[in-house]
Amino acid sequence: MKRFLKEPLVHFLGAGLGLFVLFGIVNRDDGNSDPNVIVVDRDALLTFAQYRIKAFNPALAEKKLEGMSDDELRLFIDDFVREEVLHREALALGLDEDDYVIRRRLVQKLEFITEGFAEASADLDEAAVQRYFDANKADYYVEPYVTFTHVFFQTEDRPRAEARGLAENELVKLNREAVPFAEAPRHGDRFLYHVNYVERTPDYVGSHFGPPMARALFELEPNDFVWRGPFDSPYGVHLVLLTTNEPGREPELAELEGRVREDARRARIREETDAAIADVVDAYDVRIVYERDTAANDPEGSERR
Amino acid sequence: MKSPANVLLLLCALFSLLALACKSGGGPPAYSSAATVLAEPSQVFWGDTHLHTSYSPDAYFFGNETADPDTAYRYAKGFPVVHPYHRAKIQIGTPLDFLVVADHAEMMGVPFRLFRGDQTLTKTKSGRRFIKMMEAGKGQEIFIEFVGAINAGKPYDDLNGDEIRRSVWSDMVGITERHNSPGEFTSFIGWEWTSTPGGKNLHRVVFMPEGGDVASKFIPYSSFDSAKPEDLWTWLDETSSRTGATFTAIPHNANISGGLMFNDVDSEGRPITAEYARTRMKWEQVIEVTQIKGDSETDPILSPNDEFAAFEPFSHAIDAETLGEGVKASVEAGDFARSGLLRGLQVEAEVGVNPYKFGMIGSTDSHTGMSSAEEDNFHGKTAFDSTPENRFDTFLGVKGFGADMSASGMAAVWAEANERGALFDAFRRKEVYATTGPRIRVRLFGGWGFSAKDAKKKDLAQIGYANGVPMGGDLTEAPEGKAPRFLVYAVKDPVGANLDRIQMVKGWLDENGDAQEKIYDIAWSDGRMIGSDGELRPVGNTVDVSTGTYSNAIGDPQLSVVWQDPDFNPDARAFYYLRVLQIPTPRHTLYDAIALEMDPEQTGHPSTIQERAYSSPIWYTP
Repeated sequence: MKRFLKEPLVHFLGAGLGLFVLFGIVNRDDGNSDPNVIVVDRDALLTFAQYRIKAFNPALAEKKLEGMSDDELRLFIDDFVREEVLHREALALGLDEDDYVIRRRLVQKLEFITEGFAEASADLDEAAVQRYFDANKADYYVEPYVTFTHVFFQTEDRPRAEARGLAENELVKLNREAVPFAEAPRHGDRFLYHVNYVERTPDYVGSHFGPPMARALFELEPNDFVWRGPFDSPYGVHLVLLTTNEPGREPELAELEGRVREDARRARIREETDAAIADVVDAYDVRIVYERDTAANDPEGSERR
Repeated sequence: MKSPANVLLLLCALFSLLALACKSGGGPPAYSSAATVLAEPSQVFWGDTHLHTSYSPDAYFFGNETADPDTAYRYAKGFPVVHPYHRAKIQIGTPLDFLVVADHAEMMGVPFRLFRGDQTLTKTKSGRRFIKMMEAGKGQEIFIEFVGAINAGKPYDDLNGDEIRRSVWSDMVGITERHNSPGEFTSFIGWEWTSTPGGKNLHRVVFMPEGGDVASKFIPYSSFDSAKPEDLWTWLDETSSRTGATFTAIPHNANISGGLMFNDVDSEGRPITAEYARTRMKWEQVIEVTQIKGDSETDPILSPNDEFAAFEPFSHAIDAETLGEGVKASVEAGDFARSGLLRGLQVEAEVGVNPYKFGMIGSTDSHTGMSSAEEDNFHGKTAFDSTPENRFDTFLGVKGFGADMSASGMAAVWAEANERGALFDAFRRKEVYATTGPRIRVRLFGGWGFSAKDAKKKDLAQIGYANGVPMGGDLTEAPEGKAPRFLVYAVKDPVGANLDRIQMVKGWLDENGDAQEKIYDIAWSDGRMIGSDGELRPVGNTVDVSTGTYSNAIGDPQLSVVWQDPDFNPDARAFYYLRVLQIPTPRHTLYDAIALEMDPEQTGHPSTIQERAYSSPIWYTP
């Protein structure tokens, strides 16, 4: 099923010579609505010029057209005619009809040009950034986080009940001796991940201790002095000194101005691109004549099947 | 000052300045989060030193027209982004700690800007021609021509002027600077030097810890300037003296270098000298041993007794002239890391300096702008091979098919902090290692006095640093009657699969100066016994190929051991590195096959793989 990434058009262009012969024939012809007639008028050239400068800007295109020398104009017209002929021939061969690659390529290209055009004009003032931030606050939600240290009793080499017993005795000792945060590493067994967890989110804590223990930790009130537990993880039993438990929150704009500005800029480009494309779509008279067979799409109908 | 404990701490600090005793006895214990001690002297940071974006010409022509360096950094930091080909929203599983966007220096940003209408390019003769070709739908032909020109070292002069090169570079530098936030996320300024003489891959990624003020004093050295590594090193030397930049260059894809990457001669065919070895080691302390275009640790032809050698082989020679059916790459000693390390010992025995005394990392070399090395979240080598159908159907020319690619390559770095200087220093001292994707944490220390119980100690890392050398280091002067001992600790990826085993790979020179290698199983899971044949039986396989799931019912979450070399010869040069194997998990193509409701057997690729980590070596020199 090997399919080289090919542009089907390439193969047909191999028949270029034949098309040049056609070109000659077309040029000798005369008439108005004949598909073999190419009218090179001002409108056609202006449109062509806009494609060439990759900007939908008639004034600019006009300037370009008028600024051309006779030689340049002749070459420009030749280019236009050649492109028009090849385009019509390709259409006549039906290349556009059943080739989704070409279709998508054309669509993407136009989207791209439009996007580039929008990019140039996307400069935002403070108010616009603030508006964007207000409208998209959910995207900047700061997850809840906790800071804690822990003393660990492994269950790799001992039954869980035994580890729990050890932990319960140690808990009394830790609290009696008021063992501080910084001295946690002196107690218990080696845990495979970290001793201290500073400002860690539920997902992170969950990946190291399992979701049930993470949930239990995020329900604790912070307390700088009281060790709590035991808590069960897949790896053993833990005593915890949890000193921070910040709920999730929506931050102020000032905290992440740079990121919001960039996001707002991108959103503006997207909007302008969509708007530009919508304008083009509006220029068409879209007639939707497709009618669905409502019976076939009736969910109840299909259930009855 | 939010808590009384903080105030107390401050008071303690002030009082101690006045040499007054300040104890917490009686009162509450002093604590502040600023005073929380790090349990270990170094932490592991995860990143990718080799990522291409739409600024790389080949990436652009393979469908990445939109994922630019900014998108690449956003993806690495964990933001959702739009995929450049299928346009769906994608997001990394676990964000990275650091990233080097390393676009090709050759024609960097040129197609990207040309087809966006950059007038300095559209007005040129070549520019006009390519635009015409593009308008005629000849994208693939432009690619062949363009990459052909790059590989042949013949740029389009009118598209390669200093003005455009400077402009693209300054863009790149600006974006990279914007994404650097010390302590949170590190971005490095870098590029790829893409030398491919005769279709043989000699590519190097170059990056630096300095910022834009230094990087704006030069334009990246490209293979148009020279295709010889020796000339690259000369440029690095001169540019370093002139601008104050410090660089490191990281070779990759030795596996498709036609024997050249770790050759026994220089670019002129002359035997390697001490001078060559010293210069190479000055600039190339680390190599990239595993990435999307396959694994370069070793090959079954070179290591016939290594049952795990045939991992993610990639053998499409990248020669633009043989576009079509990729020519099979050779397998020579110069093509793989293990044989390269061995050759290094041999050259050192002859000329006194080891040219191949390198550490090892992994990275992606992805061309999508997405640093994706996760099997279940792999976004393609190029933008085109990012969908299940394209993975099997779309021939990427010299690169083969998307299904041939490995969802691989992470660089792990042991450092004190996540910032440019600390990470770069770790590359320099080779305290870095490779994984094929999962974030397996690996400690390795070599010394003479470790005792078996050190492997179970809580302060294993402190013991390691205090009594030995970390990975990337050297041992010498063996005490009388002693053999080297290695303190080893591996922990599974918190969100990944359990571990099967840790192996020690030893390479040495025998009495005749011949290269030898041996693999020792040194720690393993599930209390398995070594069979009468001396072999450790396989760990098993829990992968359900109909659903693409596995279970951690087998394997162990952590393995640790102190291992002593039982065959140590104090007179023989040797190196030791770890290979840590995961239990079997699904290969990225299995997820595609399931999605396409296709028989996994028909993919032509294994359904399951054993992902792994490779430590940098520790060397013993008599």
